[in-house]
Amino acid sequence: MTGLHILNQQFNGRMAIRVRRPGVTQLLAPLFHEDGDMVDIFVDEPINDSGTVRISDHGSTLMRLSYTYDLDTENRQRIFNRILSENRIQEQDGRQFIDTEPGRLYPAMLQIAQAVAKVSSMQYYKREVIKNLFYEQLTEFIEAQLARYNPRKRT
Amino acid sequence: MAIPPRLYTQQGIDELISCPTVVSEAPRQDMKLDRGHYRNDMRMRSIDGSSEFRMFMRQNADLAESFSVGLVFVPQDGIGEIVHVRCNGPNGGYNAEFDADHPYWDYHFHRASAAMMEEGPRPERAATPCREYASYNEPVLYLLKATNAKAALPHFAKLAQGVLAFVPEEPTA
Repeated sequence: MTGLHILNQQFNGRMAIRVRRPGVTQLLAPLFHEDGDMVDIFVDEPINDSGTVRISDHGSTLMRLSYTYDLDTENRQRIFNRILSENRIQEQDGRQFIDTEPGRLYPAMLQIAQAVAKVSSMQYYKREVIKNLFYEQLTEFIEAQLARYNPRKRT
Repeated sequence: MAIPPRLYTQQGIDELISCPTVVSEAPRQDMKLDRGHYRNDMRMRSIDGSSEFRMFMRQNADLAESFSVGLVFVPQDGIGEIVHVRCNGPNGGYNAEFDADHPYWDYHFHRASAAMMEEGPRPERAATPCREYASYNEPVLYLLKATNAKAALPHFAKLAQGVLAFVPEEPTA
């Protein structure tokens, strides 16, 4: 696939590829998750004569997110959908992807890498974090709006 | 009221990982397909009831060799869960240009370290190659033994007994 050679040139030769399945090639670029593992990005060869290739995560982003965070409420799902639509990424059965021409692999790869990073960051919306933020905001509100009652922190 | 964050030492982390546990929420008998991956989950607590844990089991639906089985500590101090251990399958390869030493290309094992927590990155960020498993089924059993969660073994009878992944056939001769 000549697109991959162009992509490697655009990465200044610092990208590697591995064929994972017939027609599915993994891109090994210096993109990492916070847990130390590499960001999984794959290029699927075109099935028909459309000429477009698909850059996909093959479901690895949602799988990784699910270790500590599930999209199990309407709000969470809405935030997820928003991240995808704002980054122009499509999703089907948990697999995030973008279809592009071989000559535009470089920007498309960075585009999906950004979306993967943002979706992975949804773990920061965990209940415990939100709970702590709530207490902070409550304290802030009490100190700012109810100062006339001379509120004091319990020690 | 928020509980003050707990301080972790390596000894404390190691003790939590190896403390004997009992199952508080049993796993499903079989993995469930959920948006591109198969999953199962289980909850455990220490025998003395002071600590809670979660075990997650995930396997990519497209790439079966891409799996992760992990033990998560669920503290009550509000800082959120901590992944203590994660057993991963080979996720493709490494790139000698920038990542020659990473065991990502092989079966590998992440274990939380207090030093990493102190420094800032994810506690379980560091990884080492692991020869204790070479398929999805094995790390589940490996993790149960390594984390002293042997009481959970009966919940994974199919894995423990090595049930074959195809329908047994009657001998024809």
